[in-house]
Amino acid sequence: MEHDFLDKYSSVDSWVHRLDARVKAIAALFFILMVVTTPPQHLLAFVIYAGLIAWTAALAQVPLAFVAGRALLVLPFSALVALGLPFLGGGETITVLGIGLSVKGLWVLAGAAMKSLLGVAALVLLVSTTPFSMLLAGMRGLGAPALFIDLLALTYRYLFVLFGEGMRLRRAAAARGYRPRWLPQAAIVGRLAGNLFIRSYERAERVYGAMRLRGYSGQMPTAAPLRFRAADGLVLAALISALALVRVLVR
Amino acid sequence: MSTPSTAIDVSSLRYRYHDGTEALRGLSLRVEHGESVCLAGPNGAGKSTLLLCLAGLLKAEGGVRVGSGKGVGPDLRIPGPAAFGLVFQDPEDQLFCPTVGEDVAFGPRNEKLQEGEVARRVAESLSAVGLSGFETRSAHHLSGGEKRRAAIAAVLACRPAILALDEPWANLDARASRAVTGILDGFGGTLLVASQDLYHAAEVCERLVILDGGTIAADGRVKDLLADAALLEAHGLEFGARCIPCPHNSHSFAI
Amino acid sequence: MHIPDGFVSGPINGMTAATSAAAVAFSVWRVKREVGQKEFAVPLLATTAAFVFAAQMLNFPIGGGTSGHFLGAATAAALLGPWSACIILTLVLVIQGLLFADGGISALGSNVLNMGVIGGMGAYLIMRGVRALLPAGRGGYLASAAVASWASVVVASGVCAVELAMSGTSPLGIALPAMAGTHAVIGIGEALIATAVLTAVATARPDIIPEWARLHEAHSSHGRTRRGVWALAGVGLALSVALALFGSPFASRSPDGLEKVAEQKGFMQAAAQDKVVWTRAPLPEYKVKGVESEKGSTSLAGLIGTAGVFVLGLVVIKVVARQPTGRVRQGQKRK
Repeated sequence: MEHDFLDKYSSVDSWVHRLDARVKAIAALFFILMVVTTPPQHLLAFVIYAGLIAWTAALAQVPLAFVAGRALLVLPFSALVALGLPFLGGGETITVLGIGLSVKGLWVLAGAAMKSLLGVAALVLLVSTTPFSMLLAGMRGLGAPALFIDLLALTYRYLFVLFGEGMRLRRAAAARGYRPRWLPQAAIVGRLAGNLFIRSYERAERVYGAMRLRGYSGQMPTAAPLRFRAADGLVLAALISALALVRVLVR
Repeated sequence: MSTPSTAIDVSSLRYRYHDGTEALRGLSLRVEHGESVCLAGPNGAGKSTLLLCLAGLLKAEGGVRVGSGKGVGPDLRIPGPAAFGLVFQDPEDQLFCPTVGEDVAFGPRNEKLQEGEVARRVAESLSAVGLSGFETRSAHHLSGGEKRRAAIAAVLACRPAILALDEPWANLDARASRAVTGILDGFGGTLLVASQDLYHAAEVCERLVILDGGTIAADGRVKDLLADAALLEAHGLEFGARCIPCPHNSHSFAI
Repeated sequence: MHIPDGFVSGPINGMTAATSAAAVAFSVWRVKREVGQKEFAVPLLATTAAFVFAAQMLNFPIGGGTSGHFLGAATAAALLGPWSACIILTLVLVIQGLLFADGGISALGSNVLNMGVIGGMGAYLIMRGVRALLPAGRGGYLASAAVASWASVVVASGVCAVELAMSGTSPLGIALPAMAGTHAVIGIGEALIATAVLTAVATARPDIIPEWARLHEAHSSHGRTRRGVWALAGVGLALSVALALFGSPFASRSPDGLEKVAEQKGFMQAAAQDKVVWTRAPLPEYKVKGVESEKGSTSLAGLIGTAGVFVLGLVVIKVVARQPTGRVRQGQKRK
């Protein structure tokens, strides 16, 4: 699993990157909230939202193709769940290429697709302009429980380690001829997973030892608190009002 | 307050794993302040177990005194980061923060130092291991050698009086190995290195303690013991030979 | 089962978010209280979350060329308990949503409810319930884990379908059979994997699952009674939830005994005209305001009501009966 995409653009030095992490987190969240509550019929609003994403990406020097590419990954789920709707939903129909499609169904499908794409795009921008530890510090600053933040940090750190170990186990099994073809072979997958769990458990024991040896006594130490600048406040206020206006006024 | 005359004092140490294996069978050892000791021995000899017992992570029977003997933590076994620092075999276990800077700062911050002092220690430790400027890098993006050095920096930031390392040269290429040797050479306190790599250990340590089957098989100056090939072989060790072309005669080699 | 943004409506997401937040907060509180060596729990929860994340990448074929994915909630609950499982799944979902576009942030409440609360905590309840019905022993333990794994996946997918239906994204008549149907098969894979994982762990590191070691000890009658109570509670709750979710929408519309008599005797009108004392019923006529689908509305009302009664009952019992609370986990470290 390539994980380079996560940190690919986080060390660029742009105006957006330098914004306080809390501002970016709140902005992304508010953006998603506005998008999700906008009825799909307000097409112009969605165009503006997409424009905002593109503009922010440009300001942050993050290629739009990158953002769009990652956002499109979410479409398969849309297809799975809502694709059938235009064919099955009731009510008014329009005829496209000789097939009767439900208008209501089409709107639902379009709405779901647009919202999920925009939601992912916002998060991609957030993560690309904010190193993960800064993002966590921002969340902590916004009031998220310390234990949860500590857990997120540790989980993130060992995500790739465990995934790598899992891949190695699977390759080893494949090298011995394991190719899952039918359901009962899930049990073999289970044995690999059991092995992986034990490794993760023993890793936790060793990490715990390492933490204690360097003075850990129940709480991860924190860095100096983030400092909020006037510019950060202005940007946040501007963004929130703009988004609220679009949501309420644009039809 | 008097400091004990020896840095480490172990007497009749016994440790048995929960599956029954006896890893340490009555081991006794004394290390003076400032000594640099290599603990060598075949796999299963008990080197790692001994280090873990010294660190207080394993509860053994017998006497263990590290540093001033005052422990910290709920069970008072851990000597404390300023007394004893241990670098594990797998640096992945010791780099548990999102960035290298946070990992190196972990120890100093737990000591409740001011942020300015913390930043100083971080810069100092990273520079000592040749990783200046790595503060914002994430651990999973580092190479094996860089991870090893980052782990050492994280332990050094606590300014331990005794530094112990478990197989510091394992899985490193020549350049990274040289870097580690340089770091250990520059360390001023008591050094304890568990390693099968006698070639590198000999450059750093004056004293060699050979462990086998949970007890000490030999204990003496590095130069003396390395000359005894039979002794080394008896305990599964090898002092690797190095071949370089002879500068005067291109057809022969010096060892 | 990870729902992206835009598939579940605002009100539904709001409700599920509130429920999930409460459940997670409660789990954090319980974990801090229960685990003996509190500090070890921190790296352990994290590495187990990383494990679940990695394990969720495991896919297995379920026929027809498609594959299912492992969820891991029931397994986590069997290994570390319901509260830890809830926290772990939440961690996984936050990271998946934030970093990997797997599950929308606005739908986090629904996803945590489905996979963390129902998948994790619900699985634990089912596991305890089933285990008490079976003869004590390792076979019973594994069988209960298997059933709990399968059931939690199916129920979670069902609730997911209900959420989609209530938001108008997909009609219940399509979503429910599709989700529950496919997950009934996926659940088999989940059960097989869970059993294999637990067996592997119990064989290599029996100290990790303290209950496994205890299963060969003689059980006191007190233990049997305790198990009996759990059995009843678990099975009862599972049945109630199933009925509320899937049965109540199809309840008969005909007037019940009292209403029939009231119509006949003419005092039905009087009831309607009199001043109603309690005007602020939260779920009038067993419907949830703001939910379009009628059947879904009744389902949700039934679910909320059942959950409410269960919680109320627990509170009453805890207050009235003097019982030792909490279940201290024995040392999880091998030192």
